[in-house]
Amino acid sequence: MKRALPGVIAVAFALVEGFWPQQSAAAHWSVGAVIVLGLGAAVVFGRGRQRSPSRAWARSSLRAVRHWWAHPIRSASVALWVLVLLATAGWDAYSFSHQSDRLPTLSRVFGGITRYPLGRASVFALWLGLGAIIIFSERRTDP
Amino acid sequence: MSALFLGAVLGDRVWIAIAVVAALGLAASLRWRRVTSPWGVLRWFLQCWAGRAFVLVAWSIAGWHLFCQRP
Repeated sequence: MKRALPGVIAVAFALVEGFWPQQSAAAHWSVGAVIVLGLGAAVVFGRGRQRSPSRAWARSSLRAVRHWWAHPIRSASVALWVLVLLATAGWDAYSFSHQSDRLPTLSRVFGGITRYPLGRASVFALWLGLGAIIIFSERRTDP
Repeated sequence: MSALFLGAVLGDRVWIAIAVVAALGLAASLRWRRVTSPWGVLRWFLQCWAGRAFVLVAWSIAGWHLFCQRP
């Protein structure tokens, strides 16, 4: 029950957010509050619990890129995800720069879902869940 | 499926193509463990403060843009 409570609160919050008018001050304030609380929670709960220092992480990542042939399948799949991310960002920027009905931006594609209250609530719930994963996962749990 | 693809505007076709490539990559990562999943990429970012901060900032901007700025 204790473990389900945050999930129930998040779903209830997402429903409230979804049914608020998108341009209302309450909808904007609540999103801003989630961002500020999320950043604060990341600092509070992540302090002293990161798995590695940033420099060591960057160094080991660079080493993995230099020795990509040691794990060809892993390297190829990481390259695929990098390409998907670059294609997404690049095509979004290209579409945004043209401002044409034939070139919808990613946010306009999402807008097809978020224009409806339940769609907006669902996307908001997914965004909250992703934020929780970013803040709480992959931390060291040893004291 | 092809009728949907051909009936879509150019921009939609590109988005569909990117989504199909991402779905195939996801399916491959579920089928073969050696293929890195999007979750694996996210976990790599979350190993340290720099990566976590980068993802958090991207998450914040995406949320603000999607829920507050999008007309």
